[in-house]
This record gives sequence, C-alpha cells and structure tokens, in this order.
Amino acid sequence: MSASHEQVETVDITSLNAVAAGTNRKQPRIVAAGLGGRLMGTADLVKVTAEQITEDSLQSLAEKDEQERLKYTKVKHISEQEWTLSNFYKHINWLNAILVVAIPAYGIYNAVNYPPQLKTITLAFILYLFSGISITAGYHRLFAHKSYDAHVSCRLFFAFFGAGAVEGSIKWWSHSHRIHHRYTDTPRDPYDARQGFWFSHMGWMLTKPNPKNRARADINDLANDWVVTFQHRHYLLLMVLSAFVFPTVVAGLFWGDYWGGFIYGGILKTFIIQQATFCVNSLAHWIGVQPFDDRRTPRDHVLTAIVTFGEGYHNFHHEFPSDYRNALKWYQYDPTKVVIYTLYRLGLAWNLKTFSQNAIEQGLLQQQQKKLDRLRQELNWGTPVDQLPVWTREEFNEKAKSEGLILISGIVHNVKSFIKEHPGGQPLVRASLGKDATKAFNGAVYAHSNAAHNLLATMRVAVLSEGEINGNTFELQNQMLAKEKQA
Amino acid sequence: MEFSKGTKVQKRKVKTSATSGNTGGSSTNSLIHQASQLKNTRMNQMRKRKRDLLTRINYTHTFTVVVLPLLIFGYIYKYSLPIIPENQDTLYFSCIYFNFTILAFNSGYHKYFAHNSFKIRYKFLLYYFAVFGSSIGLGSIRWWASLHRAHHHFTDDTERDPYSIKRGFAWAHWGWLIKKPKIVAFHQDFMEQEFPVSLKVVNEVEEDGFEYSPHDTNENDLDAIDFLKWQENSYFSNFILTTFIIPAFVTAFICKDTLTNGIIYPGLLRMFLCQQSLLATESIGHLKNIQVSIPTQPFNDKNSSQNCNNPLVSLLTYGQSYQNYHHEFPHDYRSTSSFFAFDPTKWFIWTLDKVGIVEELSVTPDNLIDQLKIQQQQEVLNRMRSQLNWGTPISKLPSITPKDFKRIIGSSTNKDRIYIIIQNIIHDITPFMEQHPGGVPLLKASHGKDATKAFFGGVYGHSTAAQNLLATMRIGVLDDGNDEEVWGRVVREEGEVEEADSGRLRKSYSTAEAA
Repeated sequence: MSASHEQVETVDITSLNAVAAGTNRKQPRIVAAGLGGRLMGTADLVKVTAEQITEDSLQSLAEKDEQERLKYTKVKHISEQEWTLSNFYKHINWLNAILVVAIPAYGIYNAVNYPPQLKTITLAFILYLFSGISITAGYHRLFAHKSYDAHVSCRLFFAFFGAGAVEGSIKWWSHSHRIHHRYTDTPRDPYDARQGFWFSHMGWMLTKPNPKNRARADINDLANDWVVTFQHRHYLLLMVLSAFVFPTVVAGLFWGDYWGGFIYGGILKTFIIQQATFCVNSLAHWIGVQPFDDRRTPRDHVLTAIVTFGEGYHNFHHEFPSDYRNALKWYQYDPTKVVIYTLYRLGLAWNLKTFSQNAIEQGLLQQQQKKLDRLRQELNWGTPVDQLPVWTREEFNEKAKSEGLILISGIVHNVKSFIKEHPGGQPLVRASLGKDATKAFNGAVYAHSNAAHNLLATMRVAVLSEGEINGNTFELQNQMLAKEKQA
Repeated sequence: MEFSKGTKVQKRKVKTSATSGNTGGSSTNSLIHQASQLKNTRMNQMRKRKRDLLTRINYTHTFTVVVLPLLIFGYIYKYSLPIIPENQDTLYFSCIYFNFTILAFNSGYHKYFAHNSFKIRYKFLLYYFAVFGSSIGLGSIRWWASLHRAHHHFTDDTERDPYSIKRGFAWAHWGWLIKKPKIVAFHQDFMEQEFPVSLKVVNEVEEDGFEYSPHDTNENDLDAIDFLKWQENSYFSNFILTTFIIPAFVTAFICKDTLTNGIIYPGLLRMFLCQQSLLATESIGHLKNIQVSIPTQPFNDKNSSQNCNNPLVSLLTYGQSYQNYHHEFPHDYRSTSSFFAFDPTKWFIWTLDKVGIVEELSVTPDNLIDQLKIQQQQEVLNRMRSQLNWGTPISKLPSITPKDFKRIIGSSTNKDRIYIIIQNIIHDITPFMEQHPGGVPLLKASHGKDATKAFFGGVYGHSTAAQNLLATMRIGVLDDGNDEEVWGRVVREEGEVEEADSGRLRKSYSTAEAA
C-alpha cells in the first residue's frame, strides 16, 4: 500500500521537554527580587536546559547514576562531600536555616516567658486559618495545579496571606511543586521521600542541594497572572507585612499587645504553618495506605489531613493532581475542598476540575487487584496439574481402596485423612473410593462450594493417563451445572 | 373430575361459537355455569386453607415458643413483677443456668449433632446435651439437627430451606416453628436420611460394601440411633424437668426464693432469652440490613448469610453472628476464625478438649479461609471491572491510514481538536485537554504526532490512572502497515478481559500495557 510509505510525524522529545520546562520562551525569572522569594530551595536547581532533561529522561536511572559517578570522581560538589567540622557550614543553606529554624526558635523562647492573651491567641488562630487556606487552596490547588479559576479578589487574598506563611512566592513555590509532581521519587524531586523522613521534611531546604539534580517546570501561565508577578516582585515586603507587621499592629492597636501579637500572631503562627506544609512532603509520603498506586511513595492518612487542612489524601492527589478535591468520601477531612466549593457557589471560583469517577474507580480496582495477586501468591493452591505424576488406570485401581483415592476430573485425590471431616457424611465419600466421582462432586449429588474445590486441590496425588483433565474443577462444575440447566 | 369436564365443555363451546358465530343463549348459560364453578372452587380453596391452617400449626413448638412466653409476660405484667429477679441469688442462678443450657444447645445440638465438629470420649456429655438442650424448647435433637442440615444444604431455597429468609424475616425467626412446612414429607425423608431410626437403612448402607473404619462401628451407630430415639421420645419430659422442676427446686432450696420465682426467672424467662438468641441467628444473621446487622460477606455473596459486624448482634446471638463464615465452613467448631471474637461456644468446646472430654476438633485451615476470601474479593472486583468503561477494545476500532489521518487533522472543522497517536492508536484528547495536569501546551505541541516515547517517560512517565484515561479516548488504529505490535496487544488485553469475565480466578492479572 502506498499509505504505508507515508509516516506520521513523531514528536521531538527535546522540544516537548522544552515546552514542559518552559525553556522554549523568554526565560521567566524564577529567582527574582526579594530574599524570601526563593525560600525553600536555591537558584542552582533551576539552571537546566531541555536537552539535559531529555537526555536524562531517556536514560535509565542506573546508566545515569554511573555517568554521574564518573563525572564527579574528581571534583565533588559540596553536597557529595562528607560532613566534617571544617566544611559543615558550607553544607547548610543559611538563609533557610534562619527563616525556618532560628526565628521560630527565638519565638518559642520568648513565648515561654510571655503568657498569651486570649484575644491574641484568637487572632493568631484566625491568621493561621487564613494562611493555611491560602497555601492549600491558593498556592497548591489554584496556582500550582490550576484545578480551578478564581476571581481576582480571591487571588489577592491568597497572595497576601500566603506570603504570611513564609514559604516563598507563589511563582517559586508552584514551580518546585510542579517539579515534585513531575519527578516524584526520583533524584530530581526536590523533596525526594526516598531519602528519609527528615530530608523530605526540612533537610532538603537546610542543606545545599546537588546541582546535578536540576529540574525545571513550565510556569508561563503563572507569569501571565499579574497577581503572581506582583507578589513575586514585592515578596519580601509583603512577607514581612503579612507575617509579622499585620498581627503586631492589629494586636497592638486594638488591645495593646504588640509583643504578644508579634510572638504569637507572627512567629509562632508562621512556624506552625510551615511545619504543616512540610508535613505534606514528609508525613504524606510516610504513613498511611495506598489505595490507588503503590509504585510511588504518596500515601493517604487522616492524621496528615488533619494537620494540613485536608491535603492528607496524597495517594489520590498524586494520581489525579488537577482534581480540586483531595478527599472523595464525605467522611474524609478536606476543609480546603469545602472552601473551594463554597467559593464556587458564591461565584468567586469557577471551572472546578474533577477527574471522571470511572478513572478513579479503575485506579482503585487495579490497585486492589495487585494486592489480591500478591496475597494469592502466598497461599497453597495445590500442586499444579502439569507437575503431578502420571498413573495408569491399573495403578489407580490397585492403590485406590487401600490408600483412599478418588478420581475427580481425571485427577487422583487422596482423601483418606479427610473422610471423617467430610460435611456430607462419611458414607458418601466411602461409596466413591476407587471410582470416578466427577459428576457426583460437581452437582449430581451435591454442587460443592468454592472452598471445597480449593480443599480438593490440596489433596492431589497424580493424574490419570487417559481421560479428560481439568485443573480448575470449580469452572468445570459451573459448566456442568449450566449444561444441566439447558437440558 | 367435574371441573375438568367443565373446561372441556367450555372449549367446545368456544370452538362452535367461533365457527357459527350465533349461539347467544348457550354461551350465557355456560358463563353462569363457569361463574358458579369458579365460586365453588374458590370456596373449596378457602375451606381447605382453613382446614390446613389448623392442621399445619405445629402445636408443640407453638406452645413452647409462643404460648409459654406470652403467659409468663402476661403474669409478670399483671402482678407487675420486675424483669430482673429481686433476689440476688436467683439472679446469679438464672445467669449461670442461661449459660449452662445455651451451651448445651449450641455445642450439643448445633456443633455436635448437626455439624459433627468434634468427637465425644465420655458418654455423660451426650446426656448433658440431650437433657439440658431440650430446656430451650426448640425440639428434639433429631428434628432440630436435621432441619438445620437442610437449612445448610438448601440455603435460601423457599421450600426446602426450613427457615429461608426469602419468606420474610418473621418466617425465618418464628414462623417456621409455628407453622409446619408445606413439604412435610420431604423433610421427613430428609430427617430419615440424615438420622436414620430404622435398622433397615443402616443394613442397606452396609450392603453397598463400604468398609467402616473401626472407629465408628455398626454397634456405635446403633447406640447413636437408640440414643436419638430415646431423646426424641423423652423430649417433653426432659423439657418439663429442665424448664420447670430443676429451676424451681434449685431456686427454692438453694437460693431461698419462692417456687414461682424459680419458674419465672431461671425457668421461662431464661428459656425465652435462649430461644430469641438462637432464632436471631437465622433471622438477623441472614438479614442484609446495615442499620441492624452491619453485614459483610467476605466468603461468599451468593447466599443470604451475613457476617454481622454489630457487636450487639454478636452478643444477642451468643457469638454466632458470623453466619457467612459458618455457612462456608459449617463444621468448624468455631463460629469465626478470629481469635478474639466473642464466641463462648468455642471457649467451652476448647476447654472440653483440653480437659480431654472431647477430641478431634475440626478446624478449617487458615490457608483455605484466605483462599476463599481472595476468591470472593476477586469476584467482586470482576463485577466492578465489568461495570467500568475501559475504552473501546482495540479490535473494534476503525483502521485509519496515515493519509486519512493527515486529512482529518488538516480539515478546518477539526481546527480546535487535538489528536495524538500513542502506540499506533489514535486518541482524541480534546475533552480532556483542560484537565491535563501537565498543561495544554504540551498536548498542542504533540497534536497529530506519535507521542509514544514522550508519554512513557520521555517527558513524563504517566501513571496507571493516566493510561486508563487515555484508553477511554481511543478513536482509531493507525494503519501504517506495521500492525504486528497492535495485534499482539489486542490478544494480550482482550484475551485477558474475556478470561476475567468467565471467572477464571487463578489466572494472574497484569495491568494494561506497561511502559
């Protein structure tokens, strides 16, 4: 045929990777103004080209590891060197260490000596809710996953209170999160859960990362949102305003508790939010069940959900990332979903994305099937028919009476030890000793249960050289019963 | 006879009227005749039903399970007595006697006689079972155990199952005791087959040429027959003895209470409680009602038996609420395989075994239990699988040549659509475009091209869920002369689907095409 000469074009993976990494356009600046903007990671990790990514994804991991090992035998990056007293300060990312360890430590030290007022605690709690929802509903589900579209007022709210969580700008945060989803459980995953709980919790941001694990994701859609770019440009100012100045001023002006507002509403609130968000990277890959896919680390657990405003159903989330829900069942705790749905009812959010129920149930089903297959392998299902010795009719007749043998479906079974336990009584079994009981077993006398067929299979001794052999006696029984019904 | 004649006449009439078309007078006559016939038969039926109602009541059991409890509740109500005895000793005795009798019934009637769960070494246990088992008032061993076997053998059969739940909750609970079944003869035969009383049957069996093991010789059988006969004949006197005389005298002389209190509390109220607990097993244990039984069927969902997860039901039925397990493994001496389950009968039999009074407890191997659980889950999964959309089978997709495909892409009506080829199959991604987690630009860049490598790791190694979604978007097979791979996949995928549908359970299932 002439058609066979005409081939369909194959996509160029390098150019496609360029699209996925966003390197096909004018570079959107990820690390821009503001110190805090690049909190949670360093600039080194994003200097990568599409060619490198392509080369990388087409290689097997083993090959790549070998190559990297050769490359770094001579000059080692700081992250590959041993921790010693002389170089430990080079390992640590000091900016992040100050922001997520030193400042909270200072806050806790002061809080111990400064008992809070109820009003201040309430303010801190409200700000905690605002910032937490801004991170989950805003940073995560709206900006990183585009699982819905929101009104500009919502985006401004998320941008302001999200900055108060001190986790970097929307642009930066969404970028690393997209990388995390694209490279889950590979060295390129910034919070690679395979490297242990503490690494995925805080270790990855407190130490200098290895630049060989650079990765990029396309964030052009975010670069086109003026709220995002504005927040990114003025991140440091917004962060200080939202996280520290706002609670201090509110508490100070209204009930004169400037110091309490700063400590509780500012530092401690920020600390709790940060730890909660880090829990998604660590706890959600650590405890819980995997109802959708167990090839990767994400897990579902209610404890993680409680800590993280409903982001705990992480196995589902990694399988269906652009779904605006994280919990499917009514009894699962997902307040973020409720907030988004409420915004939708109010007309402030629209275009809520959900995956089809069909695909979700398919995932559940395949995972259950996998588990079942694993269980099945651990059990004794009797010797397979093709591994049994072959007997002749005479051999069978000779041994039948003395050893208590019964012929069913061409297979010889030793039922001697079972005669007493037979639920239908001993006489029935005794009457069939040395005979072919295929019909009696499969419905003529009693249609045995599946359990009985399993038990029978464990009693196999040999197969007879003549006659039909069917190892799956339960199916044989169904066939015979169906035939009987027709007749 | 008369009725059949009538119908014959009528048939002939119809024929003639059809041929001649004018026999008005005779047809009205026949109509009247027919009506009177109908009336007579209806009357006869009603009379018969009335007669039947009286003959079909099972008076002995109606007396023990309906009349006696009603009388005692009436008595308590009239003299406004408390439900719980005021005398502490009577209370203690009632509790002890409750356990004593219900254990005799559960381990004797049920586990020993109906299901042969263990062997008895000392005869006195038989007499304990026989005498105190009859204090529940649910009949003799021979009658109850054979009906119970019929229940296990013909579960859910409306006629042959004596307490089929298909005939309603009330029938499964009480009705079957009050009213005799329609097929009495069948149950009589079944009883004779399971627990023969005449020597003739035993001899026949012997002539068939079975070699009896020395363990249960003919003599033992004869003993057993005599014992069952004796129990059947002395059932009522045993009942009177254990329900009235023993409780009354123990209460009066040991607990220092009145004789009447002895008959009320340890006697009849205890009997009523035992009855309810045993009857609930067959009614609630087969009830698929989430509010009551919290049912599951982990072993077999083809019959009505349920594993009740409600601890209250478990308590009410004296640990026998795991009916699904019990129906699958009836002669297991336990009522469920769980070690911690509330199951006093199990504890009792286990203790007897340790003491050495009984032997050869029948226990289902764990392997078997797990196998059945797995098979049941597999069946549920197969059912679920058949209800989901797995995409059009590849063999049913139209074949499209690259030339046609290019024309389709090029046409102006398909301007906004996205077609991507993965593994030689054309997919229409348009409806999914906006939801793609990786963004629309990637899809647009692969429009009209073969993106197999990019899909399976080149750009992103897609999840199983993504592959499932992709399968639902198939629209055609690209016919580029290299279809060997495609047909290999057809065989692999659809062959599997068929096998899964036909219930071949042990065949291992592999997920759709792996990268």
